[in-house]
Amino acid sequence: MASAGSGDEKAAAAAMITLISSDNEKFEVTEATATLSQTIRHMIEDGCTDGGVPLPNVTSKILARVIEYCKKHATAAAGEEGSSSSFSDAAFLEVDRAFLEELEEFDDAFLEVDRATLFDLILAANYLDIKGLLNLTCQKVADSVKGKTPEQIREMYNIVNDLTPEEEAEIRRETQWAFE
Amino acid sequence: MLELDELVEEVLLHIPPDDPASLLRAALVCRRWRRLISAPAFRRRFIELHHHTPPMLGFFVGNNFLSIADFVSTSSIRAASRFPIEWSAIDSRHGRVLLRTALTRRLSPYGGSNAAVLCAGAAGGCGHLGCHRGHFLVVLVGIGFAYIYSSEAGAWTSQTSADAQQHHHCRLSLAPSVLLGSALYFMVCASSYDLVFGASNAFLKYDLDTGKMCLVRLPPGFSSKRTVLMAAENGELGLAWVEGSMLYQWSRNKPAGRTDNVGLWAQSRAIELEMLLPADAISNSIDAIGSANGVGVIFLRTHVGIFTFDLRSSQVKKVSEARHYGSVLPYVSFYYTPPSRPVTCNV
Repeated sequence: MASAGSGDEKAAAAAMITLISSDNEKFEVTEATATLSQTIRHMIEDGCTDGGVPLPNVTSKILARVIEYCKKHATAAAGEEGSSSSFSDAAFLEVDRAFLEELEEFDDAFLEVDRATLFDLILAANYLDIKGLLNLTCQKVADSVKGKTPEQIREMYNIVNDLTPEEEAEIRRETQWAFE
Repeated sequence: MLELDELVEEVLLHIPPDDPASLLRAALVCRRWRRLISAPAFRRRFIELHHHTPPMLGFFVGNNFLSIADFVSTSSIRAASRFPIEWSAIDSRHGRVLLRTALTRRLSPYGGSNAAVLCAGAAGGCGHLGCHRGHFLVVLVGIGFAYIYSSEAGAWTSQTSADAQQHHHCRLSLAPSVLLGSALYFMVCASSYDLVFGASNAFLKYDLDTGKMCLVRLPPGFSSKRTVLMAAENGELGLAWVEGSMLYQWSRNKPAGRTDNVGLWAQSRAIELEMLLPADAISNSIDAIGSANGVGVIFLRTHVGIFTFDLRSSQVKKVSEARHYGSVLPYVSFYYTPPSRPVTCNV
């Protein structure tokens, strides 16, 4: 079992994919890293990755960050598979926990970006269909809305209030408790 | 910058379900956001993203099962108003709350009965995630009889069951019932003290599909402590109670091949609360006083207030300072926008 597993890993490590950003920069990544993106996974399955995968919606700056995320989380996924096939004693669980904590710390540090980058990451995660990254980045923006008044949210995100005073009054009247 | 509708939606979907106030405030940002949040598609996706598991928004609470009238929020919702003073909550399910007035309490000819409210589509595969404005049933059950009100028909029908009538000396406890599949389970007790405060030695199973009723005794030793009937993690009926500082959970496992009501009770968990509760909450008078089915929470009453115990995370959280409350009725539901005033229906 163990030798077959490591053989597969070697085979996976050997398969490299080239991603091409909108500004024509090339990134070499392993298939395991690339297939965290469902969009790229489908392209690989359809056999249309020869000569590289052009990603016209993603700049090199954002793609570099996305790849950083995928590399870390692909290792995490491989680690999970590994631990499930081996018997799990306390030492393994301890390693798992430490790794999960490390992953959480990575995610926290990963989100320490300015708002424009965060939005670009959301757009890229959506386009590349990377569930984990989309959830992570959307959660970060959703958390920033928590406890804010409508006025504060508008100010934060440069949104123009186009509700009529009547519409606004109606919503407020029915849900007064949410605005106290 | 958040110009794409789809991405604003993605972001707003990530507002936690127990924070409906943030969602409501977001709905006031602009027209597009309001339209997005109030669209049925948003509701569907919101429920999906949160694993079809409605959160506990709060709980109704009272000194005993006859006076459950205060609402304690465990989320960002605030109760808009209190019930009229003579009203009391007796059941809550599928986004609805069943209330009784002083009048029904005093004039009820069915001493020792309990009642449940449920979605009328319970048997038809309704997911109960947005059915709270639809038709409902109120089921009034006592030993040997049941009355069912259908909001669709606007009328009561009655059923009698000979199976349980031999136990006519027993009474149903007023503790909230548990719905599993098509069956409602009610605690049964022998004295009127137990009736109000929830000790028990048996339960009554009432099958809504067949109209059959049967009384099942609890394993010996349960009757002395207050016991909470609940849906166990294995989907079967469960029990929880506290002895000293230990919280015990039992569940019923149907032996393979048996289709009757005989089940084997087995202890599924024993939790030492001393390590979890603050030191001042530890005493010999801790009681399990209720459970929120579906969200895996047990309510614990201590002499410093009410705590919730999360069965999955084993986390304990103080939810009320009140020490005199003895009965709880959790309100578990997604909050729906756009909101409007509660709809009341007199049955």
